[in-house]
Amino acid sequence: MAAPMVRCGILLARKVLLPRHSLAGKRCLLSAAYVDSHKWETREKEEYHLADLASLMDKTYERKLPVSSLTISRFVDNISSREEVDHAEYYLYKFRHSPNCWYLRDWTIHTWIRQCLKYGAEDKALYTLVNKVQYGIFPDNFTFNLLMDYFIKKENYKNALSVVFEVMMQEAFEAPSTQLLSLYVLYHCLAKKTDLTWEEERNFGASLLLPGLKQKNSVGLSSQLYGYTLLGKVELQQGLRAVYHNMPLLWQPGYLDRALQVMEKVVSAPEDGKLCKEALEVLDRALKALTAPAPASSEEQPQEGEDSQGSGNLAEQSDMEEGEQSRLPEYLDRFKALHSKLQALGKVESGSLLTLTTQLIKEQLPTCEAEDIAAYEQKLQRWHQERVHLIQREQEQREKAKQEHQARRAAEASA
Amino acid sequence: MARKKVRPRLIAELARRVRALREQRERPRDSQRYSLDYETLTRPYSERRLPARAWADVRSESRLLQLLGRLPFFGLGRLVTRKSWLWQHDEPCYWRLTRVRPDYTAQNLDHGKAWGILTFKGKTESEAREIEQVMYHDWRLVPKHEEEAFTAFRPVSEDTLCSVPYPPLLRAMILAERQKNGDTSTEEPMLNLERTRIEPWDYPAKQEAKRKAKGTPV
Repeated sequence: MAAPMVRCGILLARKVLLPRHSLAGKRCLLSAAYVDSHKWETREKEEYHLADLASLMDKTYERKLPVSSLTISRFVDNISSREEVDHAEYYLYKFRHSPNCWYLRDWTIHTWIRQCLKYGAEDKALYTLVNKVQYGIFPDNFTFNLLMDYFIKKENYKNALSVVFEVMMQEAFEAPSTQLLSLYVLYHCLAKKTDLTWEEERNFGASLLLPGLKQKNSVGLSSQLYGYTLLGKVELQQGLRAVYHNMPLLWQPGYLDRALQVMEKVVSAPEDGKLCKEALEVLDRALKALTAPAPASSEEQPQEGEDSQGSGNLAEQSDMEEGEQSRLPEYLDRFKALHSKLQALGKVESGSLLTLTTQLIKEQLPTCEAEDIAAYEQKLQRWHQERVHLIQREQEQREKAKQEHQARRAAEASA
Repeated sequence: MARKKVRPRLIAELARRVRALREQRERPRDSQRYSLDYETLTRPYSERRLPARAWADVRSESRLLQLLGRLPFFGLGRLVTRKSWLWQHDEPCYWRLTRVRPDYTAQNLDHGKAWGILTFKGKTESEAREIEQVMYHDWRLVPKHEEEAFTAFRPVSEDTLCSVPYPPLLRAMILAERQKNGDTSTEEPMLNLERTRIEPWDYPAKQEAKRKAKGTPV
C-alpha cells in the first residue's frame, strides 16, 4: 500500500510545481485550478487487480454473457502504467462491441481520458476519440476542455484541432469555456495555414459556425460569417451533399446566402455587434474566386455526377448548383452594398480574429471556469452516488443468485 | 369409437426444444441480414438485389444506426428525418428517439433497432413505438442548432364545416321518427361531413403488428 501513497505524493508535488512553471512563459489558457486533478485523484475508488478483472471479463465474453459497466469502469479506474492503458483500450473496444455498449458510463470516459493524460498516452486518447464509433468515447465538456488545454500547453495545435473537430461532430459546444477554447485553436490554426483541402475547409466551417452561433458578440458573429463562407465555398465547388453528409449541418442550399444574412443582421441590429475585417475579406475573396472560373467548375460537376449517381440525384444536384452559381453575381453585389453600409456605420472591427479571441478569453474565461468547476464537483458527487447504487445492486443480485443456487441445491439433495 | 391412447413422445419434445433453442441462438443478426454489397447492390444474406429506385439513395444516404453510432448515447432525444419525407411533404416529419438497441455484432455498430415518438406532417403521436425501415438508406440527422427551425409548424386551420343541417324532407322524416319513438329531444338533426382520415401512403406502419402477423411456423 505504500507504493500508491508515494506515487500520489509525487504527483501532488508535481502539480504544485506546475503553476510556477506555467507562469514562466508558456501559453496556457485554463488556470491551474481547472486542470488540477487533486479532486479526481482523491475520489473514492475500489482497489482491484487488473489481472482479476481482465480474466473475469474474458470468461464472461467467452460464455457470451454481458459484461456490466461497473467492471469496465473498475478496470479503467485501476490503470497504473502505460501498458495497462493499452489493455484498457482493448477492453473498451470489446465492451463497445458487447450487448451493454449503451451503458458505458460518463465517469468511465472521464477517467479514461484523465488516465491517458496522466500516463503520457495522449495520442492514444486522441486515437480513441477520433474512432469514437469503435470505442464509444464521448466525453463531456469538462473532459474536452482538459484535453484541449493539454494539447494547447504542449503547442500541439494539430491534435488540438482534431479535438475541436470531434467536439463539432458531437455538437458539444454547450459550455462557453469549450466555445472560447475551440475558437482560439481554430483561429490560431487558420492564421498559420492558408491552403486547405475541401474536407478541412468543411470541418473548419462547421467548427467555426457552431460556437459562433452560441456566442453573442463580435467574435461570435464573425465566426458565423467565416463558417458560412467556408461552407458556401465547399457547397459550390463540391456539391451540397459534400457539405452535409456525416456532418451536423443542414441540407438546405444557400450557405453564402446565410453569410450575407449575418451581415444584414449586423447592419440592422441596434446593438454593438461588429464584424471582423478579416472575416469580411475572406468572404470577398471567396466570392471573387468563385465568380471568376465559373465555366471551369461547372464543367467538372456534370462529369462527376454522371460517373457516380443516378439521373434523379444528378438532376437535383445540378439544379441546386446551377441555382447557386447563377446567384453568385447577385451575392457579390449584395456583399459590396452591405460592406459599404457596415463601414459607414462603423461596425467593422479592424483587429485580427486571434487577438480578439484572446482578449475575450482573458475577460470571460475565469467566470466560465468557476462555473465549470462547480458543475464538475456536483457531477463528481452524482457519479459517486450512481456508482454506490450500482455496487449495491450488483451485491443484491449476487446474493439473490447465491440464494437461488442454494435453494436449488437443497431441492436436488432432498429429491 | 375411442382412439388408442397416444403415449407421450418425450424424445420428440426434447428435440423440438433443442431445435428451437439452436434457432434462437444462431438466428441471423441484423448486421448479417441487412449487410449490403455496394458494388453489385445485393444483400449477401438473401442473394436479392435492391429495387432500382433505391440504388441512387443507397450510394448517397445512410442508414439510421450509421448516423446514431457517431453520437453520445446513440443519439437519444435527437430528431431524425427521412429524405423521402423531406422530398414528399412540406410539413415537418421526424422521429424523436427514445430508445436505441444497436446490434453489437456489427463491426461499426451500424445496424440495430430504435424506438421513438413520431411527428408526421406536424402531428405528434402520443406514444413511442418502434421505428420502421431503420435499415433503409434514407435517414438524415437534424442538427441541434436547426431543431427549432425544423420543428416550427403552424397548422393550417380547416375551414370546411363539420356538420350541416339535413335537407327539409329528411329532417321532417327524422323528427317524425323521433316523435314515434317518444324521444322528446329538441336538438336540430345534423349531417356529419367529416371525412375519414386516410393517412398518406408513406405513414410509418406499426412494426409490432407486422411482426406478429407473420404467425408461428407449423
